Amino acid sequence: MRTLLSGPGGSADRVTVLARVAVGAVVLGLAGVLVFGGLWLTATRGERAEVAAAREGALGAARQIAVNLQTLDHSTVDTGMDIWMASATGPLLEELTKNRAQYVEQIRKVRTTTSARLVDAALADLDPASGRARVIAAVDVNTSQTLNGTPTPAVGKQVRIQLELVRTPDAGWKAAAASAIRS
Amino acid sequence: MSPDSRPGPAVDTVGTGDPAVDTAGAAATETVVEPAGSAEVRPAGSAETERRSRLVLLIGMVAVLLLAGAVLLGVARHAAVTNGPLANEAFVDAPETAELIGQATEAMKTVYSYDHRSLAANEQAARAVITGPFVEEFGRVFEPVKQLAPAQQAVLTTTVAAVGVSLLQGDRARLLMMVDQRGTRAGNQQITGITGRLVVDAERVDGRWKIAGVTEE
Repeated sequence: MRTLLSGPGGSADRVTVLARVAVGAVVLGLAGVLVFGGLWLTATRGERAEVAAAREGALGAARQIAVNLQTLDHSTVDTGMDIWMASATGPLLEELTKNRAQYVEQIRKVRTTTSARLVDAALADLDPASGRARVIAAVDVNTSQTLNGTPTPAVGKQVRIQLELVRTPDAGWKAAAASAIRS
Repeated sequence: MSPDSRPGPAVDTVGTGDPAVDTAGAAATETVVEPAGSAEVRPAGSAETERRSRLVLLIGMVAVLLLAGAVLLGVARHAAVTNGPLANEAFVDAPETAELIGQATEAMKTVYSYDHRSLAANEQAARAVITGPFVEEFGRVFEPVKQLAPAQQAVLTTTVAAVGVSLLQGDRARLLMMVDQRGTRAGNQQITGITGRLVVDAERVDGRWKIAGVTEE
């Protein structure tokens, strides 16, 4: 480079100066790409990003599961129970499998329709390594009963639920346990 | 590239007073090359200069691409860490999350508990763990308590049955709390048992998490 600059003025020198500027800009650009690329990778692919993704995944699943497990219509109870079971894994799934026939019979007998609205949910605990999470949820549940073919006015209830979630290998986060948070 | 001291007619064409030539990158490089290419008859030196000009243009374009890439990556990273899930430290920073849960839970129990025999101490303890807009709200709620509690011999105890963390970002946090309240009046007869679902906004002041807002859901 030094020799390039040693000649007297002229277009060649212009080009030489521009060459230095351009090479400098390349070096700067390369450094920038490496630095910001590295930072971007750490931010979006690192361990912290994985934990954040697990948190969002567990919470997202729990928001739906909390509603699923509070919704059941006596006229479509089989579909409803299918949804319950699709939301469950482990002990909860075992329990539902064992008692499904009994639940279906009960719901058909009392002829209740419950619908649920999620008010809020938040993660209470997260173990990303073992794929376990605990979520608490506030759900408003409306229940009505069909008597002589006419549904009774819905009775609202503010429910507090706790879900133990497990990340299944093939179907994402599911509830292994569900319980009401009682005082 | 060989040292080039040969003067040529390209001097005038190339040099045509563009002040940006010396200072800028690709755009400036382009102004150098185009006039050189349009020259019709040129002595030996200009061919070499033109070849080098093209090389410089190429390097300049690479530089622009790299710089643009660096800027894009920088912007993408900044957006990722200041907004959205990656900006939320809840459970990502486990010790911070645990500290938040512990301090916010204690603060809520303190704020929503009192005993008619120790109202002044209760108020003082509560005011130590609240901040921002909630200070005024606490005053509004606690004023009638101070007036009525002694006569009623009222005692209110709040416990937190479950806590979730929705957001933890810097010194601000949002929690979901399932709280239970048990109140008694004269004669230790239990008169209230309330369960609540509260969204709690917390703010870290001087290293301590304090209650900045409470909304019932």
